[in-house]
Amino acid sequence: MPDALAGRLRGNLDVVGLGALIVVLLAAYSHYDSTLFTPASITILSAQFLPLILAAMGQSAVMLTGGIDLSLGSVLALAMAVFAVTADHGVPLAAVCALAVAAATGAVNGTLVAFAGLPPIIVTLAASFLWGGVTLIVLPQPGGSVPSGLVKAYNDGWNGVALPLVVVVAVLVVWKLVKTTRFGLSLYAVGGNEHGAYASGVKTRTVKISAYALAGVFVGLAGIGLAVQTGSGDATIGAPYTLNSIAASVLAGVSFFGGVGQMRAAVLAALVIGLLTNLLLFTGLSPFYQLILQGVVLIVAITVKTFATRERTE
Amino acid sequence: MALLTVDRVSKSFAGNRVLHEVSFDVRAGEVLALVGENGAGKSTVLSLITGMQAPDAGELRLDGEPLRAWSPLRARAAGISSVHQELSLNPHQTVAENVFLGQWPARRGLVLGRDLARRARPLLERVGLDVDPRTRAGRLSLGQQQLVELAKALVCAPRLLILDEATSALDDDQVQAVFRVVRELRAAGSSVVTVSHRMAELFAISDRLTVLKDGAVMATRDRAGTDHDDIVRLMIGRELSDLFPAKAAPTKAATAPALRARGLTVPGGCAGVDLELTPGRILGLGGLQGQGQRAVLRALFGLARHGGEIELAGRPAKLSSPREAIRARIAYVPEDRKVEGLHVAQSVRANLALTNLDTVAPARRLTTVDRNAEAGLVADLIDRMRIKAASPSQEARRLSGGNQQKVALARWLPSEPRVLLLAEPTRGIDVGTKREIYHLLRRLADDGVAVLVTSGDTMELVGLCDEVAVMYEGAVVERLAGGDLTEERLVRASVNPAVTHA
Repeated sequence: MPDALAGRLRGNLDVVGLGALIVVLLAAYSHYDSTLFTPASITILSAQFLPLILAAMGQSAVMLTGGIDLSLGSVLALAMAVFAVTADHGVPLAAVCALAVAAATGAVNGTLVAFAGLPPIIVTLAASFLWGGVTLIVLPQPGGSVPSGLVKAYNDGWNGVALPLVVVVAVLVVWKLVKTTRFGLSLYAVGGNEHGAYASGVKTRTVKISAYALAGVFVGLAGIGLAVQTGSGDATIGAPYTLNSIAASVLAGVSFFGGVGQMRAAVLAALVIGLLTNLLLFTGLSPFYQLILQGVVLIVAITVKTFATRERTE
Repeated sequence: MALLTVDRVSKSFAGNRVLHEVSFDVRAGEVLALVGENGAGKSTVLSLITGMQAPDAGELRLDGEPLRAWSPLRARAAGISSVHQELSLNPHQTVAENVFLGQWPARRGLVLGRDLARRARPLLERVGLDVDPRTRAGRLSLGQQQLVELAKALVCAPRLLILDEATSALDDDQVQAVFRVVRELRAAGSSVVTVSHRMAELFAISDRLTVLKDGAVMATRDRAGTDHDDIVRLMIGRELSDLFPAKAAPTKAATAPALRARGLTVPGGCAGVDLELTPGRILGLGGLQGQGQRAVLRALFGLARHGGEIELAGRPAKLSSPREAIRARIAYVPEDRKVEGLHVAQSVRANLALTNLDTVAPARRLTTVDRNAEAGLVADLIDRMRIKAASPSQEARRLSGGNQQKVALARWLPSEPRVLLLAEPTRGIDVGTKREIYHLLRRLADDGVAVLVTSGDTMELVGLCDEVAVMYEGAVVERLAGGDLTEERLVRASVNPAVTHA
């Protein structure tokens, strides 16, 4: 059995590596914050990290098809704004609206990529301005009406349950199921060899559009999470999520060329980025140096990861 | 009764006519071979049948019914499957997932890995492939991957199976397994259309042969009523011996090599390759596609980082950039002339001048271009190479493939290269231009240039080269020259390196 175990480890190098990195970060973290492993602390942290985790999953879903989504931050802010504005009509309705809008923006991106044959980087760059503008129309000033009860339950725990953690687990389970459907297999097939998938009768366009729409759902959830975490909507808050989600996906081993990558690794990678940001805050360094350090750590991590995986694919 | 009828079909790509009123039919329960040179239009015809492309004019009929709004999905549904030389597998998914690509059997919406593997096993057995269906497809050898493609084509019990160079990477045993499948299908009343460079295989398995040349059907012959020479004559429109120039006479005194490589290694490309390029001789690099031939050429032109020793005219040399290679008078005509060979959006004049800026923009003119010198140089090259361009200012992309290739080659001539590297010099080029290029290469060799050519066309390597080094998985596994240089030996060495070594 040690062989089988070693094989499993090798097959999950991304997950294992990221797990190890998280352990190191957590150890350093607990040095600054001795209450780290208390339920309250875990709830707060998971509330803070949820939006980036979901954003990374959305970005990964698009990258698996060989695409990229530069409009992610704008769509996240749009979903956040829609949720915050409609929340006084009832939270479930607001959530449905926000998710529908986010999925629709994804479907538009996907349609342009699939039918107009435009490069994803151009389509989604243009879309980022478009949705950014729409968001400002929906919510010109930060505000909205997220019920304070929900905000409290989300950030402080609901009967001792960390809601954001539940969301992450639920989304991962859903993804696991999606991955085992024909759609999920098509997603990986299109990313791995689009021409071959098309020649084998896969509806490559439908698959792409669905992938972007699915990413929209993830990003919509992220937007709702952010609205609930901060208790309001803000049209300008989404921007950093675009590049952070790409960084997380790359760190997770999702290939820019599509077809390779695991969602659970994307979740861990987003966690790494979140922990690192917090940790640097603790060090009390000037924010300028924090940015420099964050960049250096990411470059080193991605370089090490790339070399490790290159060995694996001999 | 014809299962499939191709009726006066024409197709052009960007103004280049690829098919012109092509007509033939495929009968139920027969094996039809489509033969023709590279660029004769075989692949295009097949892509029309499989729904990858639509014809500009003419129609295709299945069971007498015209095909409308044809797509790969509909073709599959109608019982047409295909195996192509370009693999359609996804290397990152498992063998079983690939076998059922696009039609994964699902239970309550979920595709179970166990289930897939169980269903894939009998199909893999049928094509004589003994691998675990849960291995990732990218881990298999090229030949095994090709058999996975065949298993994939059998999933929907095809009425018409298309084999486009489907045996190119297979050894003798594996080819027999493919033949067995083809015979089973024929016995069950299905039809097979096959395309292959290996003429012997076509004669072994087909009932009729349809010959294409330059996008038109030359003839359809019953197998019993034809032979190898007849088919080749139809393919190239002349006798084979006329296509290629005479080879170099074996030199009495050993000429010093212009370039000698020892243990040339490119990570992920080739390993431990020894080559000697001698003035006056044309050396070929053969073997299956992607066995490191490209890496060798790119290394020798300083485009790929490499290890090993290189000597130029007896002196150790380092070729770490194309600039250094050019200075050492090495010239490179790449495979993808549109990316690495030419500036397609620029004029013929600009393309020809670019590699000769030292001459047309000398230091004494403060490196500004001397338009008279440029015009003279360009006119001379166009004339020497018989480049058919409307004028020197015509954009390179508006030229035919053959004329583009002539420009890609011509731009090096003024610098009088000592070593000339060419990748697939005649891919997608008509026979007339091929012949011109073959004769030109031989003339250059006779003038003292050492030539290295890679080609996937065995006939070309055998006809043109003085010696061929066969590559397999990045290493040279066999060297053929003189009487040993035959198409049969070359094919066998390409797919079966272990056997030829034993």
